[in-house]
Amino acid sequence: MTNQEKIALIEDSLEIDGGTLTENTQLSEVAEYDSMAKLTLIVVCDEEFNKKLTGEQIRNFVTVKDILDFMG
Amino acid sequence: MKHLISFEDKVILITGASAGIGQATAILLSNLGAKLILLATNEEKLINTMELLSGGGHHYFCYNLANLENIESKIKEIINIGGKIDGFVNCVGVRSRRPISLLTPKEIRNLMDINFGSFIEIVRCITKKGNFNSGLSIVGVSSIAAQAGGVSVTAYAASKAAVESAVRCLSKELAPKNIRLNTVVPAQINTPEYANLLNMNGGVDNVLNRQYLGLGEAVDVANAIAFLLSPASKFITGISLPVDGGYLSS
Amino acid sequence: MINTMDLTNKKILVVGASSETGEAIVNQLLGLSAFVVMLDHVEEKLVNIANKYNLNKLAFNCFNIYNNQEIEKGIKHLNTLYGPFDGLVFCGGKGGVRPLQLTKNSFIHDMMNDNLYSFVEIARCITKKGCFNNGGSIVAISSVSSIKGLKSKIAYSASKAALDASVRGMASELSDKKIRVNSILKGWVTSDMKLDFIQDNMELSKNEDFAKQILGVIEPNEIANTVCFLLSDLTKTITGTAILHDGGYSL
Repeated sequence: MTNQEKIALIEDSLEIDGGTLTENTQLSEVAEYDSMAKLTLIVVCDEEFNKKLTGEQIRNFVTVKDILDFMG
Repeated sequence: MKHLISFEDKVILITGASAGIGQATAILLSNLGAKLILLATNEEKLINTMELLSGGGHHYFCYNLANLENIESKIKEIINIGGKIDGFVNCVGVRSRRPISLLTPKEIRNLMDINFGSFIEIVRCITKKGNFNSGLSIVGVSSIAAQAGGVSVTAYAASKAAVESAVRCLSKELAPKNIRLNTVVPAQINTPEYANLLNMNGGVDNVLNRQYLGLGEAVDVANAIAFLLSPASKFITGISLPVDGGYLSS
Repeated sequence: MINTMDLTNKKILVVGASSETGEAIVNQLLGLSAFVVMLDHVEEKLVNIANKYNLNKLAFNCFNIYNNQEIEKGIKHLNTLYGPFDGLVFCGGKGGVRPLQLTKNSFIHDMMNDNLYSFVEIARCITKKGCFNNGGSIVAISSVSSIKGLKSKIAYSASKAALDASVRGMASELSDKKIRVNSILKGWVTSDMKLDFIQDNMELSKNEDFAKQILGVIEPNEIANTVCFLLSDLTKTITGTAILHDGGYSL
């Protein structure tokens, strides 16, 4: 999956308008990035990338790129 | 005169609208100005219900909700044709009477899929961004069996209890999207299903001994559904409203 | 001194015995002199528990309790080995949180399968003629989530509400055989907190949730006490209820 595809997947999962996020977007500035969104991210990483995301790792995410890197 | 409950130009999806409570709800809501989308398995019966509706702009779709996998694409099609949803009433409910000795995993799973799984899947699909209008109200139809239990209705009661419980979770989860969810909990209602039941029991119904307002009519439930769908109840969410002629209080 | 909760000569099947709550129940049952058969799908843990006690009143058996194809045969085998039971405790099942958009059918099915279908199937098989004694008692561990909603717990809450409703249905039906069926709506138990890591880590309304449990977190052996109470003859006219054991959570 390319980074563009991953970003589209994140936007779709978190119900953010397509084209809003870039690799450099600061997560703290995304209104939709709340606790439900984080939970959604955990499931998406598990189901799509087979990777277990912990609360600790989530807390360390600063930009969208951090999520993309984790997805691998 | 002020109309406390009006659905002028509101799009309401009703499943299981071909008979009983679903049909009565469709007729009532059409009288209150709603544009209806009816969804059920049997086309003949659906057309029959369509003929009983007031006003125009209604649509119907034939679909067997036991087929959970394709609900998502069906809902897309429905919204493309009928427009964004303002209300959803889930009247689908398969009854099953089976003693525990015959209640195999397959039976219970099939019933759970149609009575509970299809409800969650429809809610999941219509609450996606762009599929609904703000203020969306969802009403599920449960049963007193869910709360009171009954001989040989174990699976049916479990499926309805699952709906009520899920509604309590969803009302919290979807509140930020300005979506409300509630259930009505009917007792014995004069429907074709009830006639079948009475027939099977030789005309005797002990439930009515406790249902001290007597046998209910489908429109009694429809009225409660209309209230919960309307903005008149905009501060009510996550509840199970008994429409039970007093059964649960006796 | 009399022991009103004496379970001597009662044969109790504990399904899901390898969980922390399961082990606490086994411990309490043995203390009340019951004969206990532990059942679960992980043998290793059962062996460990059995080794701790080394009693002739404790047996264990292993098959996949979440595979509906195996249950009928498995329960039949248990009846052949041990004869009719006087009690069944179902403390199996699983938890799990997911937002609605990810609560798809496969997730719901898994949850329903582990928390409801396998319980009903085990109850169905064990209440067949000659397999369960008249006057016996069935206890299922449910959750306060059954009656209180929480974000992202849709499937879990629904499965527990369905479990409670199935208990009421069975209770009315099995009253002919004087078999009682009840469930326990448990609140936060210490062992849950290790399992529910997502909820824990994400602090999804966690703090307010704990605060609601005004008597604090529950220990597994306290749940076990309520199980024993419902299994004992002290409650021989209690059936079809869901007993709240939630530290005041639902107040």
